[in-house]
Amino acid sequence: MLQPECQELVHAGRRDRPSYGAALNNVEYADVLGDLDALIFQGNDGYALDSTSLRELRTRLVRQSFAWHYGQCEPYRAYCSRAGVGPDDVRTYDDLVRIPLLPTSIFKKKGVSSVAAAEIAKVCVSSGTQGGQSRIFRDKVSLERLLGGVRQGVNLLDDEVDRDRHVFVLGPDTDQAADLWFSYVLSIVDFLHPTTFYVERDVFRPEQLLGDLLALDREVQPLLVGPPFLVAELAGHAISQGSRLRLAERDALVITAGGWKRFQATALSREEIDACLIEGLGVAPGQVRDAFNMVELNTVLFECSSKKKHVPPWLFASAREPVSLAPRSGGEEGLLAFCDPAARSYPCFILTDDVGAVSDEHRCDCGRWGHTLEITRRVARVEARGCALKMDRTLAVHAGTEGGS
Amino acid sequence: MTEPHSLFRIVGSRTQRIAAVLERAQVGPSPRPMVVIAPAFEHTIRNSFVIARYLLGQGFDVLRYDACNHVGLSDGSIEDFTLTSALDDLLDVARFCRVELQPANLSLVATSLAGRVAIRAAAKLPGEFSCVGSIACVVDVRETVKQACGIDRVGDWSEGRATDPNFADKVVRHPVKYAFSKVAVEDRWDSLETTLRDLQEARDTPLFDVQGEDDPWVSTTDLLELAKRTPNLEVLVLRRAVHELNAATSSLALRHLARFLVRRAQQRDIELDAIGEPRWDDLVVVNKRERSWERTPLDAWVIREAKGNR
Repeated sequence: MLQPECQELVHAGRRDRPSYGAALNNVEYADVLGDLDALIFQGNDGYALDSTSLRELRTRLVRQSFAWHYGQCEPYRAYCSRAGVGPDDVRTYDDLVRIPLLPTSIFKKKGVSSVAAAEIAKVCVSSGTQGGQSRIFRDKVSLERLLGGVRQGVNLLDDEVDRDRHVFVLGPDTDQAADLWFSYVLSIVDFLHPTTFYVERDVFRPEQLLGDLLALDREVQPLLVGPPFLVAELAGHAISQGSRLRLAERDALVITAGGWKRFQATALSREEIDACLIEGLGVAPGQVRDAFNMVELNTVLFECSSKKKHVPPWLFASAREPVSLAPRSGGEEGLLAFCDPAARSYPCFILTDDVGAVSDEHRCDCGRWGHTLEITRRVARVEARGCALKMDRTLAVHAGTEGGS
Repeated sequence: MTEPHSLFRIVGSRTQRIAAVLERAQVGPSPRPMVVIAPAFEHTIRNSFVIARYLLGQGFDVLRYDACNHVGLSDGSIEDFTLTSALDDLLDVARFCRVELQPANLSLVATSLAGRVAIRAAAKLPGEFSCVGSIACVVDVRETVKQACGIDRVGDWSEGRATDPNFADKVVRHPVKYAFSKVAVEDRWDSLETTLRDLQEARDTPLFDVQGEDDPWVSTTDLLELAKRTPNLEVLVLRRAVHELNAATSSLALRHLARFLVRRAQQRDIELDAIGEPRWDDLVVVNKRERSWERTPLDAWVIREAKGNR
């Protein structure tokens, strides 16, 4: 027999979701979640927003971030002052292009931070093998947002969110990745999914990877992640071994990131990589995707099922005319620039060495609304080299194959 | 810094083996108060390592375990998961702690469905636990299961639409037999009113729950209805938050949880700002350590085996 208050509870019409009513002295409320973190961590679907809402949201997030860094980072504030732009000058979506951009080369010369030294959780570095080394000061919040963005990116790769996955990283674990950004990002993916690493003491172990793929529980989706030269090496190894892997049956995904770097001249096209992976690993053609990131950027851009790199709703991406830095029209090539509010500990308003195009807002074939990004090439400056190159060179030196592929 | 840890294999009342990890705090006099963290549905020991870091920093020894008939290293398959088997595990682990580890006192922390189990444990053993803290505690099992898997699985059983307890169907990520629903109904786990009944039995145990205001699986209205009738239940509602804690919500939520436990189990007051946050590097190290445990079979894992039978 229910107690009277239980009966009252049953008949309270609770499924009508009434208002909470009078304040209770044993209940406390806390506002903890801003728009940015709701987007990044709670999967609020920014790609479902209409154009007006998306622009309003992006403007608000980037403005807040600009005001934060302007207030917290003295060198950046001085830089903005010289440019004559402050937070009050950035009010609308069209104003976002006025935010002063830091050339990524600045991070090679100067430590730029918006937080106290005690808050820095990780100093992330680029390879620096051909020039200066970028040093990016990340706090815990920025690192967590980066991971949250990666988690969202996995949803771009695969619509089935709640799925058991195993990540096969064609790179080293954290202790050997050290501070090298690309390797480090790959090495902390195991916060999200069980992960195994296949570069040990600078040696890539494709044989072990193929064996582990064969042994993986059939219910678990394999995710292979690595620089394209190692992905190509893996596929080549599988072909040479007469592998009978049929990863399409497991809905496997292969994600390349980091570019070809030293092997640019002999780089395989995407179609050729796809063909190798189809032959060697039995991967489905649509399941080979690319991702874009750089040490100075706090967001990773992933490709959807239509192989388009989507700009997440919090990130403002634009292509700029190289001399005047005027914004290019949608789809026109220029130097890529990013305003990334996901970075709390340093002003991530950056002008990169990458040439590419940012589309106008449109409905992608995958169904998502927003901008997509296309990377064309990297400006040929001596210092402009990525972490994949460092990994490539390290591996090559160790294997005694420097200079060959 | 990672705290010293011991790996245990506890033989429970159903003779199944429970994998457990004990971490010792590096602060506070011994014997220290202890917190048992029960695993949420489809979660393992590793999933609560961040919660554990907050509690270890406040002088609690922390024991975490994998549930039987569940994912993780303990015996049994998740197909056979029921709330009653989860309760058996929790009571077995609590007994093991009390008898073998002899802490200053014992408290419980649990997330989601395990929160409902922890309330039943406190109801069943009044006075046994100094306090019970939970995150996104499920207060209406039927409704939560319905929201989580899109099918009224518990209602299907109670209203006769499902009759085969061995039929298994996916709940969130894994197939679970309808025995889950059968047991939920038979052992009175299934509704808001059965939760209130348990809360009334646990009226002498201080309770605390963190609730996401926009949780699609647990109604904030339902929880507040319970809070209205349960003066020993403190609730923190996180505006805009959903069912699972994330990096943006966990810091505040876990500091509140730690403060509640310090106040109730250690009888000392502490400001939220005085509760330290785990360092990023430590989280990376601990996560990797615990991923490696997940890859190690239970047979190879035993450091010490002990009876947990009540």
